[in-house]
Amino acid sequence: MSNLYRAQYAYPPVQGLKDETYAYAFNSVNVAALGTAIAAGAVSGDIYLQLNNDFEFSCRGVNVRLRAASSNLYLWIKDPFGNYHSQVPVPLSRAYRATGEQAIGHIPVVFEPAIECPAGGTFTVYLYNPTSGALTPPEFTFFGVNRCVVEAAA
Amino acid sequence: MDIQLLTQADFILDKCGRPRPPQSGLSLVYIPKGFSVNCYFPVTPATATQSITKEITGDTTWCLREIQIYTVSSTALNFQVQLPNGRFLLSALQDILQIAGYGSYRFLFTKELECPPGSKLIVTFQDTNTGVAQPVNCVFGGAYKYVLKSGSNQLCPVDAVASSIPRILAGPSQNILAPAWQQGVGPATPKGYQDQEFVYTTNPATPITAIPLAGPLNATQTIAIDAGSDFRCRKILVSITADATVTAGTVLAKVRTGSGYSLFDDYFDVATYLNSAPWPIDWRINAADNVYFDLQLCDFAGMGNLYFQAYLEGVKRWKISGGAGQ
Repeated sequence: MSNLYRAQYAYPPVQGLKDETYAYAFNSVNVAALGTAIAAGAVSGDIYLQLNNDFEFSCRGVNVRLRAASSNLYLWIKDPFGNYHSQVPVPLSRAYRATGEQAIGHIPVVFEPAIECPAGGTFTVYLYNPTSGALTPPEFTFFGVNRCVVEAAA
Repeated sequence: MDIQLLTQADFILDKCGRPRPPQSGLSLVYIPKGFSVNCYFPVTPATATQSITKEITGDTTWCLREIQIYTVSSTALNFQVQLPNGRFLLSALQDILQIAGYGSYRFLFTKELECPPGSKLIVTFQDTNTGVAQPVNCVFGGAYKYVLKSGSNQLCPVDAVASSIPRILAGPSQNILAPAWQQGVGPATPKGYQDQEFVYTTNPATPITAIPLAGPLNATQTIAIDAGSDFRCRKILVSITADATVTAGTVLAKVRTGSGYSLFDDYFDVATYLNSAPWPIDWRINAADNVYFDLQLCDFAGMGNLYFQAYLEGVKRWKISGGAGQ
């Protein structure tokens, strides 16, 4: 190779599959439960975040955006395989907001290793409001790649 | 594009510093190029949605590698991109602040997307706060890709030398202290092991350690690690709350494990200086060990209690018997 730009991918694609960058967006528009305020002391459980059923999705990070920066919501995530990501709900503003976040941009919290989600898989989230007032649910973006099947030419 | 300029760009320096053509065969030359997409919604716009089409121009294939988006704190826009291959980048219109950023915080593509000349990017913006004017600037970054049939044979195998030197990004990271994963290099799972993302905290039944201002001013919080798997800690998250009657107070902590290993040698304000910062390397904690937070309250005023709760974020790690790791 003669050029100084050499692509270096931390995740080589699986043989026979082609990776395409993709992100899943979940908010009050496409998930009704994320548009309903959570009452003081209440838990909003079993919020299903459904993935498409066309490709497997290698999920490499999540960005959870709170409408109010000071919101004290707690979050508990379960991946499509039923694995919880913490023992208990954890403060969203600390566990799922990356350091260095600025008004100009929001970097994701990385999943290491990536979660290889089956096509049509479902993330399940639980939101807990420990405060004395109602809180607005957050928005979720799952970053990763679609594992597209490379089809042989006709 | 002038073929002479491309040929020069294809040259590399040999060990003596002389520009040399690459070995015979095909070679690639990348010329960085970005396409900007700008949009503006005035206060109370006539239409709250705009779709902007940007044609990929040039005389060769352009490779899409990144998106840089400049926003401000008052930005309230939804965003969607239809890529030149016809596929959408996002599953639905999404708040642009979820992926906005520039410089080291730009949105990077895992694998560059080749866009032939004449193909189109279609970017959709939707104003979600029409009471405020909404400007937004995006740059779709990448590079033109030229395929050259290179020149002469040579004695010195400089291409092998060039391919072994450290990678230089077309758009270098501007944050030299950025953790490895932000540079596109994640902490790898060793062969023969399996990782799972996990967050430990204290006993869920009594997760919070209270420190009364009336004393005693020291306490210890313990986090037990499961016996079935080791843990690689990548962040410490700390939550400190206080009664309304507490007007000041700082909780210092010293972190250690039951094996005797101490993470740092003295007490300091972990909530201020360590909280949620990603570490450059993992902290290895063995299965069935305990992590102790020795706490010390200082600089306090008022009355009541301060409350401390710590979380360990990282991965559980198992050995896979007889199989390769992921």
